[in-house]
Amino acid sequence: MTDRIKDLFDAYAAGRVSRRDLMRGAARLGVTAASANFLLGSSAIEAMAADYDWQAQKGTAIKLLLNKHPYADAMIADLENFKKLTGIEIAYDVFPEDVYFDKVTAALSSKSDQYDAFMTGAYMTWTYGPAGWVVDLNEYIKDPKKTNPNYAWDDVLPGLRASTAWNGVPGGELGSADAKQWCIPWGYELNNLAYNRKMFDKAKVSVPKNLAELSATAAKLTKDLGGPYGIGVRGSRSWATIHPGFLSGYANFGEKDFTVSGGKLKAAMNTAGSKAFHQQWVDMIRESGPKNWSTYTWYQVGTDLGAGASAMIFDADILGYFENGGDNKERGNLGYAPFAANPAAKAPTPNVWIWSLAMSSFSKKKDAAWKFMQWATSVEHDLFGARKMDFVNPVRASVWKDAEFRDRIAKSYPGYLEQHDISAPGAKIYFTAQPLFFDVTTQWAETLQKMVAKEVQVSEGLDQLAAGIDKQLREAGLG
Amino acid sequence: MDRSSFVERALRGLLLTLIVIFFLFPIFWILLMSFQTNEQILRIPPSLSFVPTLDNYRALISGHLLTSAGSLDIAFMRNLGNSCCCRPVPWCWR
Amino acid sequence: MTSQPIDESVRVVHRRRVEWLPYLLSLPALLVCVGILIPFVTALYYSMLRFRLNLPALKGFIWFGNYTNLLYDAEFWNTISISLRYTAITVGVELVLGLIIALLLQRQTLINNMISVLLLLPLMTAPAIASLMWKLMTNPNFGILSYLVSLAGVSDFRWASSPSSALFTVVLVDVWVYTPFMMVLLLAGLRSLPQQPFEAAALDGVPRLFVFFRITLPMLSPYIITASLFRLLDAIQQFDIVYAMTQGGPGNTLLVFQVRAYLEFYQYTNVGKSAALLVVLWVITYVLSNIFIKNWLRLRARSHASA
Repeated sequence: MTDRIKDLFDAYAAGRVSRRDLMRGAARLGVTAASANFLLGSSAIEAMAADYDWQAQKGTAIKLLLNKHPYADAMIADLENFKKLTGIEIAYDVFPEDVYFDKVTAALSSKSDQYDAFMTGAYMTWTYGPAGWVVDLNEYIKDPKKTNPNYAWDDVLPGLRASTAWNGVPGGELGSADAKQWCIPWGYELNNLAYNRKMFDKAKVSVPKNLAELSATAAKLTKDLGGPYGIGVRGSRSWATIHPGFLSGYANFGEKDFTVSGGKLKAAMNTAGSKAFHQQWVDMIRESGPKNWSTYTWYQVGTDLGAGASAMIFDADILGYFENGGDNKERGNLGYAPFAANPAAKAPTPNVWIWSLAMSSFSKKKDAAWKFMQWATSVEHDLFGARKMDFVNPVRASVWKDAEFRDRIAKSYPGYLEQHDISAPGAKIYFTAQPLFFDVTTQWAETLQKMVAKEVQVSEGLDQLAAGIDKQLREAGLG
Repeated sequence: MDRSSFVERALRGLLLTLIVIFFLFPIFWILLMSFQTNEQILRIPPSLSFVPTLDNYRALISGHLLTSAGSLDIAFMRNLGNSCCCRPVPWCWR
Repeated sequence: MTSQPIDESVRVVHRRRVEWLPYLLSLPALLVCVGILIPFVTALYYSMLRFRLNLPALKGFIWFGNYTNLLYDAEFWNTISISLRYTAITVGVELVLGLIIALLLQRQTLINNMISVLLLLPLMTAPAIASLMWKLMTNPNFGILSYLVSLAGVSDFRWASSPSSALFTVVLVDVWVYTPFMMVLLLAGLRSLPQQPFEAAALDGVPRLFVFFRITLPMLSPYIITASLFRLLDAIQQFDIVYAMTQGGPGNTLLVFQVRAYLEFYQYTNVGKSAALLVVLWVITYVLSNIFIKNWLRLRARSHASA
């Protein structure tokens, strides 16, 4: 690239030239939009490079294990800039989500040094951390020699920083002072309503404000629309069914999965309030949920909304975001709203899923891996992803304040920013951190399936569930 | 073996036709779906009339698929090469 | 007199060479056997531990604790029940259907040969992919099968998402994939039967049903047993089809052995319990296949005597 073009982009990166002037200047110099992105990224990288020795591990090669996800796509699109910045070679394996975590378990449990860093969620680190498979990243973040000064760890939303840190004590509060940072938040999803505005107008219903209204609205939509069903929620036999909308609504009523007393856990799903919530939820699914609900993962919930087979979903906000584009039948018709299931609650309490980056304890190139993780979760890369590559939701407060990002979202996704701003303060993980997380949530999902299929009554089912879980906790020494 | 009457032969033919349909229909249907776009596949109710597209095969061979959630890298050709070469020859390219 | 010592030394050398050879020849087989036994013994060892990967502090030897825990676990009996039911239904249906198809394709005509090759296509599909294909086709919204079934009047058939029809759906997929296997074996058997008994029966004017039940079936029985044994060993360990369809759901209706063992290890990281489940599966498989093989030997001896 010529010197004049480079100088122009560097001036923008240093803040001497406004964005409008940059675009005008770039067009005058004959720079196309695509190369403009690359130049923008590389100027930002050079701004980053100023204060810290990014080239310390030049020549090493690291391998990443990635899940097939837009976050990974956004990162891969920008990978050239990382190689230029650090001189580190990156190889990666991408797996579809269905088998991704099994692959991670296989790789880590065999103590192989094949992968240096990988994508993970917070819940998985409750297994990986105590098993000694991932590195406590506090030793890197708090060390000024290892982390670049512009990293701005405190810029990451506090709820997310806390949710990815656990001290390993079953029932211990997430984000406590002695917590170990098992992974770095990369992108996150909170749970809200995404609905089809056209269908709502046609059936003349307004956006529901609590669980009772949700059931009623969904029932009315199912009846009046003559085809699509009212509400899409997940139902597969997996932890992923409990974690999104279900737990967000559950927590809004103040219900918990466990009570902790004296370091011992006791199952709390069979309280009266929990039973009432479950009854409402199960009735809603039977009345207005998808017909093969018990096979529904996030993918089916989303594609049904995008194909016009459902009127709304109570699931990850980014799911509604992606269904509003592409070649979906209902693109452009979707709206977003925050949702607090409890009529007496002041604000929503959405549970969150945080895609994060973790470092394998068995990696032989930890410093190089940390350079990658810093770069991938840096302010500059987050901005790039948010502005250009559909990287929602970004985890950094500064990115949420960025005008360009906000303009872009407000234009094509009406209501998205508002629902995020209202939901974000209460957005964190509402589960109790404990090693039997997957056992508990899978059995919970199994019980939900039985209740929807009328194989067991709600009250009885929850009592059996709580008793079974208490027994397993005792066997594991936790209850 | 001229013991089979016309009725028997007709019955035999009918049974065989039903059996062939049962076993080959899913494969035929998947073949059809490989020429449809995502939107057509997810159409309710399903229909046999559609405009065929070679996009899916193009994506397999070129290695890039554009979906509503971003671009997907498909390593199909590489994997095919591995399968073909790993059997007769002890080495295969990554 | 001079030839005697030479004879003796030749005899001595000959004897030493003969001693080495059998052992050398059976060495590869021994190595393979050891190779198979090592994972087996490891699994047995793990099944006697209380071992969770995410609770390493609790790792300890508990002898048969895992097994007694299983006995008290209601889910375990459900697993046994569903696995055995699945095996019995799939092997039974595939046997009957495979036999019918083989009988229909018995004569060596061009069409018959073409059809028998075409019918091998489902067998070449990976079972997990077949399960996904059927999952797409039975989707209540855009699935073609749901559409056709609704045209026939059954409006709300839930296929794999309802506990009452989930077993039917996975059995359907299994039948679709593996019936050609039975068909191929039984067709080979039918075509290799000696013609004399049939010609004799035709000459004597024996009714065809009698021919089928008293002549064809007994002569075919070794093939039937072999085919059933292969399918049995496969069906009781079925994983791909069930996991791809419902991951063991809805509820716990389809939690067959392998699916349960897989989930216990990969999701709950409970190595001890997973290994115990697999050892139980091995015991059941061993017992069933023993019964089959004894019967196979008996029937083969009988069919050779009668031919």
